[in-house]
Amino acid sequence: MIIRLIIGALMIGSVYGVVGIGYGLIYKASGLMSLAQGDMLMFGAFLGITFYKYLKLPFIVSLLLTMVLMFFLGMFIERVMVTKLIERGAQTVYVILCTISISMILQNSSMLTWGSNVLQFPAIFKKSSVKIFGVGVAPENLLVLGVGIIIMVALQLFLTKTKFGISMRAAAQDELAASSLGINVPHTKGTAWGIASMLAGGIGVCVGPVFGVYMSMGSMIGQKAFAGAVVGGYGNMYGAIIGGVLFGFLETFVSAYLTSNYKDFITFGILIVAMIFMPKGIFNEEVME
Amino acid sequence: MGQNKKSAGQFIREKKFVILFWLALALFVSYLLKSNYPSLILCFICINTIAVTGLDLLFGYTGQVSFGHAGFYAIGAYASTILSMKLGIPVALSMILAALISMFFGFIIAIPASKLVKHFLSLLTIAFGNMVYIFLSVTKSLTNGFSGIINIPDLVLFGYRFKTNQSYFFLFAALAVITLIAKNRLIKSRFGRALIAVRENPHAAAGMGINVSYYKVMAFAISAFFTGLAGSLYAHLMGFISPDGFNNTQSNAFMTMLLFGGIASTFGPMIGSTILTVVTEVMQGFVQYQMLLYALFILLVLYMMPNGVSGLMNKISARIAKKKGKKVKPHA
Amino acid sequence: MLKLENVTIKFGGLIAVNDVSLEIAKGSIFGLIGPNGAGKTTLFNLISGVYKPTSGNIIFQGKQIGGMPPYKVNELGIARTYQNINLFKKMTVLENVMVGCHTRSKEGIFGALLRTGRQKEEEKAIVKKSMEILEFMGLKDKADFLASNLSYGEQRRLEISRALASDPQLILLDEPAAGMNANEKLELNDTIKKINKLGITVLLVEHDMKVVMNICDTVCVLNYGKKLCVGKPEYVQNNKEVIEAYLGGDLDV
Repeated sequence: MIIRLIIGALMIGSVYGVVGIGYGLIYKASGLMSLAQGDMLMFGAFLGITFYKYLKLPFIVSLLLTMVLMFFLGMFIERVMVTKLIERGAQTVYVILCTISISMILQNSSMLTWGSNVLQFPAIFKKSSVKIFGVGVAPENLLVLGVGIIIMVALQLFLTKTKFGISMRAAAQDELAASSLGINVPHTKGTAWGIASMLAGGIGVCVGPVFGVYMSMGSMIGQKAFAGAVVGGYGNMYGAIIGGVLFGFLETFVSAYLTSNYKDFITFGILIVAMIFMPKGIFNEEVME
Repeated sequence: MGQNKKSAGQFIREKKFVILFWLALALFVSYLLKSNYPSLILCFICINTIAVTGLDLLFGYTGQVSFGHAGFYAIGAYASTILSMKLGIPVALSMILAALISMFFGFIIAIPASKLVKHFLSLLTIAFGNMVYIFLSVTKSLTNGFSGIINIPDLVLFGYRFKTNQSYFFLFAALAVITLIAKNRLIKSRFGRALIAVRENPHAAAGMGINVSYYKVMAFAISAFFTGLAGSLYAHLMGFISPDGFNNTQSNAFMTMLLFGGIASTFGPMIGSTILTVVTEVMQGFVQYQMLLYALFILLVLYMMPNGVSGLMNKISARIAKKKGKKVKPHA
Repeated sequence: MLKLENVTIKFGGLIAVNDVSLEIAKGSIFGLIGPNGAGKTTLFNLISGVYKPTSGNIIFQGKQIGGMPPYKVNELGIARTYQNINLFKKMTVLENVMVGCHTRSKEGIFGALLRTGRQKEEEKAIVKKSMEILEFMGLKDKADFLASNLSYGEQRRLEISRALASDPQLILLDEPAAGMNANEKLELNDTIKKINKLGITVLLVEHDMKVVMNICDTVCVLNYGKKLCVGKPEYVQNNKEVIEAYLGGDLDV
């Protein structure tokens, strides 16, 4: 029983973590907050189910295709919408308003395209249950966990071992210096947003088989992922993961042992208490002024 | 502060224009009042103006962002409903009590909030908004959960029973005007200057004897009062409430109205509320496309006016003033 | 008037101010000089309450103020200006000074909402006092200007005006001459003397020796957070250790 809870916690925790990484990437690259991350997850889930269920493409292909499309979507939003707004002199809060609008557009277009019913993924695995430590677990949960881990590792490698990844980190730290070293800073910003959307959309495709796909699935997840990212130290990748997993555990165990109705209430309540005592987050990330 | 004859003349001309404008507006409004639905819209505009004015005092004037203000709106609505229905308190009194209860919660949240900035504060306010929403949806014994509460009593004032949207409108309009006046008085005073100082430069403000925490907390509390009051007005106008209208979408809507109209300005909240309430209702006709068109509308306007309507008006008046050679302050 | 006894502050492993003891006489103009990074602004921050000393006492007019929050320090009678201009950019010149009057006025929320007679009187008095200060500092004509539209020298004067508005008995000026041209510096000297004549004690951090040597009664030199020497300007100028500390540093004599 405990094992099932732990796996469940890790599963939802890795979802929060992956989405939370996106918040950090956007913040490090542009100094901004995007309120549309949760909806990127939702949109990715819809794309994924379209490829898998309606176009009958193999799951892996659906997943990768979705991620590619989501990457371009995120990049498009940054290059065409966000940058243009900033160029016209919009203050930070107005850009956040822009992301709120994008969130609404994503939700509404999804509803128009796919309807307002919950869509179910057809079975991905042949077995309906897998034994982990002697306990039966739905393989879809392990899929989320597995893909989540792969994503995190791949991202880590990308940011530290590839030339572009390193350029991105350089630009995030000091735009002027990076630019004078020949790094195309606008490009790195667009890529950061692209990766954020790609990650959220990708994990969304994996979350779909577990919860079903529907218009409002991203809203709460986005907010909890945001909470995880802040608590872990906003902008810090590892912090986002740890914060997300922390929330996954909190939520799962509260739901199992205390009450499942008020689980989110308690989760957010504990968050507020935590913020009173740790105003800077776990990793003491400096708040950019 | 110098007054020369030319500018005095312009002032009078301006005043005439303003009076004509308001007269025309009043005529238009009384035409709208002839039927129920437009009156309802007008009521919403007033309620939203009050709610968003509260938000402006917090965000526009002390710089504390809040993405959970629907929480106070909900507290005001449910508190007034429960007080008047379960405790039999007359509605006029329950509305005021509800606003005070909301203000109380404002104090509570303000204490951790005043220590936080930027995304931490955003998160705290989002968490607060969510907690209120969840509590209201789940505590069925108190709130009926998602089924909502029906038959919320009408307001009765000095023996007069408010039944129609039209009658509510006159009251709400008066309350909205009072709110705007109150806000203006708060801003153009020692208290208001302290708020702006806290927003602009908390360190310098502290060095001038301003207790930054105190002002941050007071701003939160007053803000919660107004938004809570708006919530109670909403409850008795509609006669029915359910948690659905009080989630983070509503919080985002308040923020949108404020940013759209322009922050830290007397009329910004009113402009934002008016335009966006009307736009929302117009979009109702398109049912499925409603949110989409609404969002596209906002994006479109953001492109043309990156700092909201009031921001644009500031730019225009600053440019006019510059042409006259005088440096004019913005509407802060 | 102001006494520092063995004041030390450590940030992690870094000792920014090391066992500094000073006495600033009432009514004097006291100069604090030293190479960049010597701890001068840190000392100001300690006095004005922005930092809390790790050890030592800060005593102002007999009262312990070490660790008191900045707004309380201001209430007791200490005002300051900042190295980087900290004006309220979106307010007018007049409004900036009116904020400075905050400590010595008291109307709050109810006064503002109800516009009582008392509140209106106080507002009028605040405006009057602010205009008087602006006139004293030569900024009266620019009262309606946005603070960000002033020239650099004017902005510095506005900062000082704002500090004066709280009726301080001790004013801390952090590099008031920075960025000024020769004429402006002469005017600044006169301004500081004018302020001192009003009975206000002045504690001054400056790099420009012309300013310091000209107007200060006492000068103290800081280096690496430690007090090097203190005394009359001529004495300090000729002190061997001081000259050594400045060799290779910035000393515009």
